[in-house]
Amino acid sequence: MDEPDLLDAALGHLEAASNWLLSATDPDSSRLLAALACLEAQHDLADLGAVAQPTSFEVDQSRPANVAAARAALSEAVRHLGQVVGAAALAAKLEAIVDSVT
Amino acid sequence: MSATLADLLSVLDHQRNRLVEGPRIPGVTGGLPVGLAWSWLARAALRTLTALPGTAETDGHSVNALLLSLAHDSHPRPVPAAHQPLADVSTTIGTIGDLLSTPATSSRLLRARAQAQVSRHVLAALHASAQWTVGSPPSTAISLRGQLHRLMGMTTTEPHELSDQLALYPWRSVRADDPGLDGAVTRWSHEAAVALTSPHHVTQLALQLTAADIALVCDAAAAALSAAVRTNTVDPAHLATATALADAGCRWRQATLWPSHVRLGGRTPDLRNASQDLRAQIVAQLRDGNHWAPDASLGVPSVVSALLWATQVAATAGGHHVRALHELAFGRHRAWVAAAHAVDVHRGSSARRAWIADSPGDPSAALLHTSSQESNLSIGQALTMTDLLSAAREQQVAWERVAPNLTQPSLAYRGTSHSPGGPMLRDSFRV
Repeated sequence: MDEPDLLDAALGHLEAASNWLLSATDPDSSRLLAALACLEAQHDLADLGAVAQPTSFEVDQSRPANVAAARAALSEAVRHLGQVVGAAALAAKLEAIVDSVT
Repeated sequence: MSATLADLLSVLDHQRNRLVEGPRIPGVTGGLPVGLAWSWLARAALRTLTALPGTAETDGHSVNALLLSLAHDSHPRPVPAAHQPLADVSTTIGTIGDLLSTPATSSRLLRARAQAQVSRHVLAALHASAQWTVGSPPSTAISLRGQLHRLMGMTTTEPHELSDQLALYPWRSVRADDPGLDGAVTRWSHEAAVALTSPHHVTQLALQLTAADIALVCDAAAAALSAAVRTNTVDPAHLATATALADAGCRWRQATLWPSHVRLGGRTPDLRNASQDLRAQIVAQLRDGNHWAPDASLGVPSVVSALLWATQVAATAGGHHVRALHELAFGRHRAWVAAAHAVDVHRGSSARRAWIADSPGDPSAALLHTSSQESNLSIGQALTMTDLLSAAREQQVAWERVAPNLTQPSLAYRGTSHSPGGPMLRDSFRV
């Protein structure tokens, strides 16, 4: 897969992960914390341009997307997912993608 | 550092104990009369006792009139060192008055509960101060003795212990640079307000982060209140409040979800930093690994109060969330929907990766707005439940104090200190 496809795949995984984490029962809120990490990673990756993200009209878009921040957010999401029961496979898929974000 | 009403009342009790147990004024000081110290003390007490509408457990009007007669000297002169214990009490009571004067979201029931506790503690401090002054050498307070004896006759000797700290939670003075959870909540709510109140700056990330953070705060408050019930720190009836807070957390979780065909891109770095700081504080202070902290540390009144206050702050952020989505669904500014989705729905074809403005007639953001609105109402209901439970308990206690005169129950009820006038929804939670 080329990079855009990898990022697209990562975004799909992250969106699926956050949707699942937010919908599942969560007595100790660990899934909510993982979902927050996924949301951040999702937005950072989308910011890199993998998906055209329409914005409100005057949001500051002058700063360039930060690849390092996107990778850090993705790593954080992987770390959180690794702690969630049932999310290990998803975490492994995302972990494989982290290094591809360049 | 943050200062809570409970903290200040504890300080006041400590100062009261020092007056009761400590040395009296060591003879004639040669400086200004003790009347100056009493003038400051009376002014501070008067302001604090009248800061909230409520009823003291004594004849409030008589005490106020007496304090007014003592508060005659308004010249800004330093209080002599010998009278410092009185000055310390004045400062604390004045600070309590300042805190009560700050805007706080509270119901009438909660204000009455707080005022009752504040009155008891302030009156007990005044009693101890009067006793301390009267017990000093006769030359010290000749002109005041009559008034101070009358004051001692009107006030109590012992404050009740802080019987319901949960009623005090809305009054909290927090500096933005507070390094703890209070400061993180304050900075987060500020950044959420900045991000969500401008239609030019609001982003999907801001809306999702805010919703998820509100859910986290609700979850934390529910966990702490449940722990407090399990450790018998609060009334078992508060388990219903904990359940309602957990339900509010679930609803905010749902409000975090956006359908994949609706987008509003853009960056929100300041809110994101504040959100991460809030989560870091919650994880560091309230969690133990992948779970909430043990009941013994999570269920203490100071933690429960802090989290109820945080929930109240979160509800304000929730109000911004609701209004931001209302603007996106029905206002001049629109979210974006995937053209593929719009085309699929309306014309049966598709176009990948193209976005069009959300339809004004049938906006996709309307569902997000409804979810947000329902979620925020659930927080208001949970917090109102806290007030009603406190009031119900107080009413029960008041009834127990009344002599069993079954022929005139309504008169007995009217004679109690805190007569709740029925449930009230907080205005700030109505959106």
